[in-house]
Amino acid sequence: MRVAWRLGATTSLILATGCGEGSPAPKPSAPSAAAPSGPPIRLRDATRGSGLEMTVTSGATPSTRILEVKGGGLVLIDVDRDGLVDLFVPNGATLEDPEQGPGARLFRNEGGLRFRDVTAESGINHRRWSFGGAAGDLDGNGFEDLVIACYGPEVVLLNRGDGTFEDASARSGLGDPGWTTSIALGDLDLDGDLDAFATNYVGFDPSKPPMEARFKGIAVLAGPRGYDAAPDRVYENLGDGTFRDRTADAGFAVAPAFGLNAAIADFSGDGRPDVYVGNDSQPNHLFVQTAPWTFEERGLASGAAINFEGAAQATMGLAIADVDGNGRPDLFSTNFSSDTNTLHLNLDGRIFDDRTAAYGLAAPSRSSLGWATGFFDLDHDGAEDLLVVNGHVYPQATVESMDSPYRQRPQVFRRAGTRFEEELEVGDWAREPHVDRSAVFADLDEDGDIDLVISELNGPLRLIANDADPDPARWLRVRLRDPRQGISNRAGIGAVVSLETSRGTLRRWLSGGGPFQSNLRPEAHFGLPSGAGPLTIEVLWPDGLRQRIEDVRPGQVLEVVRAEPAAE
Amino acid sequence: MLIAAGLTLGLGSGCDREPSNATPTPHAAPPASRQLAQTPAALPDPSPDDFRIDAARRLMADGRLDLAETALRTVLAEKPASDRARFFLAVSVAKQKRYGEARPLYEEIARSGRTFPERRHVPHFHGWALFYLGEHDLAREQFLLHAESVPEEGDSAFALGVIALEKDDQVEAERWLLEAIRRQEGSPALVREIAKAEARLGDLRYRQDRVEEAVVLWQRCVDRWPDHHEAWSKLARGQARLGRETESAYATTQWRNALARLGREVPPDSPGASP
Repeated sequence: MRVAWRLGATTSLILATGCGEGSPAPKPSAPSAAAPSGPPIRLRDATRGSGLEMTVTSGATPSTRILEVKGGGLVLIDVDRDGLVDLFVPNGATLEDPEQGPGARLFRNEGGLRFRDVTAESGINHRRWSFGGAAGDLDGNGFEDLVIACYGPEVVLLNRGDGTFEDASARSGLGDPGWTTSIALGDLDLDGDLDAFATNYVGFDPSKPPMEARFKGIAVLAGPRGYDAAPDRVYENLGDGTFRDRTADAGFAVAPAFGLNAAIADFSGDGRPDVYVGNDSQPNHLFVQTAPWTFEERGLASGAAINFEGAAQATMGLAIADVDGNGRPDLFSTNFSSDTNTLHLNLDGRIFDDRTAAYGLAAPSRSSLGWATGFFDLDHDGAEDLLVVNGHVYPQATVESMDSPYRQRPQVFRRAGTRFEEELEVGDWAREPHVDRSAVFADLDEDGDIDLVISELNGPLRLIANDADPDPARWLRVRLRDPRQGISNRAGIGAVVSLETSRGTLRRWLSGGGPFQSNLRPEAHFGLPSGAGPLTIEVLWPDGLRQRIEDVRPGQVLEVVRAEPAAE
Repeated sequence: MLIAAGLTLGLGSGCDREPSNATPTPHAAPPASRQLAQTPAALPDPSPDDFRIDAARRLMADGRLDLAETALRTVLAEKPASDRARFFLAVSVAKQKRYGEARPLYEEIARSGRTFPERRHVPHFHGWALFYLGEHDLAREQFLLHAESVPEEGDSAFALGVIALEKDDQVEAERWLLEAIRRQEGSPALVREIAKAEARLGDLRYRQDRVEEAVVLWQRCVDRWPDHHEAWSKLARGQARLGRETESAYATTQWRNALARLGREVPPDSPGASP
């Protein structure tokens, strides 16, 4: 359906119909599951000719050290505020010189799934071995900036607004010298700017000889065990794009773990953002914010740290969705092979239950080693599907030796009633095994459906276009804009967007963090089942303001501009 | 029971190898199972009584799986037709969680038709290898085959219950798990097997939001087998869900204690880990 029509303009709505303050009190609604049968999921490889021809570097092939196996991340950013989603690739390096890799690349989206490499003209000259990253307006100038997670101090690139970036790392206040895998941005203190959570992995010194390790009886490169876990860091944005380390005084100074990913959202439902951290081979952390800048680690207490069997897993990818339709954000995590991915249902904001098997997601993941993942309605049937990219860390992995091959297929799970069912026929690209790591999801060609870009270990980027039903009645995208003075989180990261239809309420969390070493666009995408009826949007802004928009027309990019309650 | 049959191989508290005696449903044996069941097992194994095989079994029981594997590979190198050695090799490899390597060994045994004392139990172990490779439908066939062909054994009923849980077939899960419990009651040697089945039945009740019943079952499980750390963890979860913070905290402590007793890594405590 490639640009069967081009959305000429986004629709701005400044109408506020029924606003109210207060903490969110989501009410149960009908599950968002669609009928078992629906339109097919159709995805195709659109890399060739797209301009996204790039091979990501992550050490040598085959990998011999842990630094080489996590792969490079991806960052979605709208550099020039043209509404088209651009792509930043932090890129890695090699053990010989971790500070001088081939360099990051910035690709400008020119529409129609065409990208142009604008790295040189952007002024970006970043060569440090990098992993994940995030985009958001850090300094309040109205343009999205970049934070890059590195092996070495994080890097902050401020967007000047003219297509160029300034390296502001030195004055940013960030700069943990260790190995940061992911960066999540969110307005943790609800003061209108974006704070940062840096997920750190291990203390790694490439000059030290590699440790010995075995997996299933076979000598392999050493995993995190044997290294010192690196403490995560949380930084408060001081409003101008500089940061203050709040790790210790905000309650994040728990026993360090092997952190790989994080998600920022209000998991507890009390109106304050919380932080969920995916750790490798150790219990995950759930930092619940109980008062401004006061967090309590409740991972084990809540059940979100471990699976139903009480086992810690090796969490890489994270995705959030209201899988059971109770109005709360559930958590899906991808894990190592010979284990299952895990779906934690958020029962009441206090207790999380592993219901992976009940939703059909256990068995299909046992032989896979999962990385980036995301819930998106790929087929526009009104129910969010699930996509996972896979690939082993041990180059010698085979089904015979490790129950899991090195190169693995991505997996697409279609929501069918109360279960997810693996869809094998979603396109030729999905039959090809890769050593995938990161992925980002967005409507890259502005045709209303969710496309994706996948980053493979030491391999080329892949642009996967979605050929979902182009019927305008079957989709809706919602962006937010907060025009208030002094607010740099204009995109409303942390908001919850609900779409009320005649068949139930669909919810999307504009969360911080991303699929794996990557980020999410601050936007809600909805596929719509047939007969969705009159549509009403309710936005729960990060500070608790509720804003309703009635009679929303589908098939558009709706920009909801924050409006204060009318004076009584 | 496989325990009675001498096939206790020093397994942990995972879900490998459990009893069954359930009556298979009429539609239970799909074509592949029937094919296996009809495989003529007329040829004798060339060396079922090779002393090295029994020595390897003892090594496996002691947890020295790599040594057992080496010994069995030696036997097999000398006697390639020894399906008994191949079977225990497959089991030793599977116990090292290399299910993809074990699977073709089981399949070769199934094809060969050679007899040895433990041959009738091959489908059960084959089933677990398939289960851990995510091949639940094929695993189910093997467990059903075992349940059919060894009706006095109960070990596969539990496995069928576990698979039904994974498929969210709650009716079948309940039927098989209750059957697993029934068949093993009264045998002191099978107390752990009963505990495992009760724990899984607790899982089912929890999924059905019958939390009180789940808690009772998990408690019964840990009463029988205090080292069942998974059940302690679930019990903590269930008690927390019922708002019983003290009981939940106690179960969490017992979970940690069980992990420590088993030499497993105990998660670090944190300020919020109160249950």
